[in-house]
Amino acid sequence: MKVSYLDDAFFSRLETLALNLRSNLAGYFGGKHFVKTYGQTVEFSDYREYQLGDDIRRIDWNLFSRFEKYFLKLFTDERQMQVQIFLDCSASMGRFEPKKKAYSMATAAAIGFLAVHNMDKLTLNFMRGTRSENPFGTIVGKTSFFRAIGELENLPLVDDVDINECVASCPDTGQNNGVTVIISDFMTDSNWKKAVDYLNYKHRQVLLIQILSPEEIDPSYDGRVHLVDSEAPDLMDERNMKIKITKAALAAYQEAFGDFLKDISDFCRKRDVGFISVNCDTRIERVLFSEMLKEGIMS
Amino acid sequence: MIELLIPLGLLGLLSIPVLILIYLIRPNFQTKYISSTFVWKLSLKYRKRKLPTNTLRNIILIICQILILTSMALILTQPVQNTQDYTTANDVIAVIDSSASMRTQSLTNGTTRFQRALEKAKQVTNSTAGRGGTVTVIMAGQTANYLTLEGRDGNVTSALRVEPKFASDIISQLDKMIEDPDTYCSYAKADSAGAMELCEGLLYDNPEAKIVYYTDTNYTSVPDQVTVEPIREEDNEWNMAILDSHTELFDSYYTVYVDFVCYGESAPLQIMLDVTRLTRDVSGMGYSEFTTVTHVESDIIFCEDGVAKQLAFYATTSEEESDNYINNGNYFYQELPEGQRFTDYKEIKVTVVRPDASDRNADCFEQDNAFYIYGGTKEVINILYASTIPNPFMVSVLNSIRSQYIDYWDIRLDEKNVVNQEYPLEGYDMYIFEHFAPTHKPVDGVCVLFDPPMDTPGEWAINVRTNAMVGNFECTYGEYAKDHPVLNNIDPTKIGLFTMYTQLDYERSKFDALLSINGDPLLLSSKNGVDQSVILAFSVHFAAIAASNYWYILWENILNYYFPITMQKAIYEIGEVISVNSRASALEVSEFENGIYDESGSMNPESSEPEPYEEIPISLAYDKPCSVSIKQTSYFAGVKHLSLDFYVRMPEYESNIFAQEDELARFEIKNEKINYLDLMIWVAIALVVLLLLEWWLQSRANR
Repeated sequence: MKVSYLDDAFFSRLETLALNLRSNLAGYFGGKHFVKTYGQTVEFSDYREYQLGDDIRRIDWNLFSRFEKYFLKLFTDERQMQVQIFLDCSASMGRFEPKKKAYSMATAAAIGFLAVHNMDKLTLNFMRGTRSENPFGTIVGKTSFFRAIGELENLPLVDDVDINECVASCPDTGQNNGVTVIISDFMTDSNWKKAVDYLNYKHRQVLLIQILSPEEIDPSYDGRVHLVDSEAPDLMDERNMKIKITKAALAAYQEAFGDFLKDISDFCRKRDVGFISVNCDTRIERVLFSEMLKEGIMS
Repeated sequence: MIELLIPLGLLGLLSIPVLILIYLIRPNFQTKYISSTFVWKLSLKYRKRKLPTNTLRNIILIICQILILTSMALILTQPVQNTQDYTTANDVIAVIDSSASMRTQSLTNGTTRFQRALEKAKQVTNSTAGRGGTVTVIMAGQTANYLTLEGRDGNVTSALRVEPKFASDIISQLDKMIEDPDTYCSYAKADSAGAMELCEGLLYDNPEAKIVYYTDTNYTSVPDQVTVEPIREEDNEWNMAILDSHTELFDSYYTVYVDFVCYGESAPLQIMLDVTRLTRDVSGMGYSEFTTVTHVESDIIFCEDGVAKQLAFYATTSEEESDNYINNGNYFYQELPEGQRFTDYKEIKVTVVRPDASDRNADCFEQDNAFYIYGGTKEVINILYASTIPNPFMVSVLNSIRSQYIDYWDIRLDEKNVVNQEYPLEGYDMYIFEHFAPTHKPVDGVCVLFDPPMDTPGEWAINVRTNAMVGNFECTYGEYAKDHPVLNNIDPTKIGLFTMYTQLDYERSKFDALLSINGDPLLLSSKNGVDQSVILAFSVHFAAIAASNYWYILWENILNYYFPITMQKAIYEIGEVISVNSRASALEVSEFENGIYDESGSMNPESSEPEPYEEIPISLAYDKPCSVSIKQTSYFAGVKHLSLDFYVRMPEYESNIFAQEDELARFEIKNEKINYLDLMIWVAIALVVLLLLEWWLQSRANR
């Protein structure tokens, strides 16, 4: 069953929103993001005394007449940011659950749209195995964006993903120049936390979005079952497991699942990393207009 | 020991392999494709460490399910526990016929059938004890009972499944009976049905027990379980017998009918009558009564073996009757000559003899050679009817009652018109005074005052206030009328109108008011010892009751109330319950073994002390043939001792010493064991428990 959220109505609802990035980023010239550095915009920021070498055209003569000292008028600078999206393309993201795949695609597209809508650079990295692929290059402008989005729905989801390797192997992770969004279910044995640390080292603002299916949050099956992992190549793979699901087993699952989320959440909080965990049964508008606003990544 | 009534139900156990097969082929795990097993693997660390009860629980669950299927199969088989104590063919139940015919003596050795049966029972007791079997002895007399044993320690027990070590008790008891057969053999018919019923109960416990029936009756059909040991000796036994005898009154003279027979031989027989009569001598200076005996002998009649004959001793006979008897070879008549005819009798002894034998009276079974007839003297009720204006209603109703009750009462009515006749005030059983009351009330009978006058003396315990209350009155029940015998079958509302009645007061302590008009007594009755009187406070000339049948019913009730019929019959059978009523205050019952009177008319000695009774009515029953005399002592002092007699006879059937019957009473011994304790309920309970346990284990398994 093919599920898709990407239509005109979806994107038109996003036009009123913008990404809210940290102001200590450097970015590139141009763009719409206010930063702490002073620039040539019309947005007043501060005064400082004239120093030798300053452009005398920027002296505020009104203040000179009042204090008989030379002060320069400073203005806020606006920069262009780089928005990098790392999308988990492993089988667990929707091989057996098309809705989860469509939900993750829609989330990536929404963030990408906000980026290009605010004249930022957008990079879509698809994580496969230990590598990340960037088939569309740097996307600037909506035309390029929509062309890239058109290909998203045909994106194959296979194998497993090592997020750390994928992020580390990315040739252009940028440095202090934007936000990196990792969209995954984070149900992997790979050490994705190293990837987050790496991005922090690169002074990138990081946002983790966890997409989960209802079955993962609250399994509805019981009895003696042979659980086959979607990333397992065959039935004999060690990732598969035979288990008798009883009430006690379900309770243990809920406890493990809660601790799993808490671990991610605690990790992100310590590193000032944004983290959103969403159920793909939740309406996507609620994620965009509620959860992301609450997290402060959107405004 | 547990047995299965329907072993085919064990096929239900085939479901157990099916269950095991289901366990073997059912898929162990269902494949479920999920996104990731990552969290499930994490959850393994969170599983609480528990004892490895799962395997144990699964094993118990399977065992439980197997037991459930086994229980269901068991229920199909209807399991029972055989509570049978034991079954062995060594046990013997000896049934001994102790009927009257077993008293028959052999011509060769003089032993009775009963003695021979006891000897055979001894033999079977010995042989059974030798085999180690138990012995039960049942005596089939008037009722069937287990033989009573007197143990060495004096305790009385029944000969029921007597162990071999105690067989000597039976032997000694049988020896005792052989020595005194007359005491232990009954005079009744054998209760073979009751004996077989007892055997049936014993066969329920041990269906293989052997039943031996020692009897003189030949049975055409005998149950499989029973062996009949014939006791009679057909070549050495014969019996002449009086089967029955009775009298009928023709033209004031009695005719005696005698049914007799000879079994075992064809022989010439002769019937003899000894008629004892009460004769009154009124000549000379006084009145005296004495008994006389008239001896009558019949002609010799040849009796074929087993063919019953009837002989009638007639005083007079019509041509038609004599033709009937002459034309039939089994009926004979003999006219009583003048002087031997009789109009009443106290006792008739009927005997049968064989004139061609050396001992005319001897046969093998002597108990039926004599027969006694009583009832030739009725209860006399002397009634005086004295009136100033005698009315035909009174006389006619008493005459009607006399005709109706001629078999019980000899009502002698003496009618007096007091206007021109003297009337006695003693010597009667009932006095009826109409329209007047004598100065002195009689004290030796029941007094009836009919239409009492104003000057009624105080002795009557009434006070007449108004002699003639005129009008149209209807009577109702009096104060004590409920269920009073005098009002049996009388409905006061249908009696009719009274146009005049006598208004009187009465002593309530003496009388019961049975009928009344406007609260005034109309019919009073008293029966308190010697004070027995009836007051009818109306004149028959002014009452519609005289023209209705209630008039007859009323007087019939009065006579029945004050002179109840002592006995309904003059002959009863052994074991029959005899109800004896009396007009008297007390009874004395005397038994006579060989008739009440001897050949000279004197009374025979009583076979036992006379037994007095004061609670009347009484019930009597006898276990041997005898004559019984009932002497009644009247309430009225110094007068009237009434005496009535009856005969207790042996059953006619017992005279046939070569009796043949079709079928010995059958009993149903079911082939299947019936002494079972049904175990199905217990298996069902176990099944329910197992089901509950299985359900609980299943619920635990899903946790």
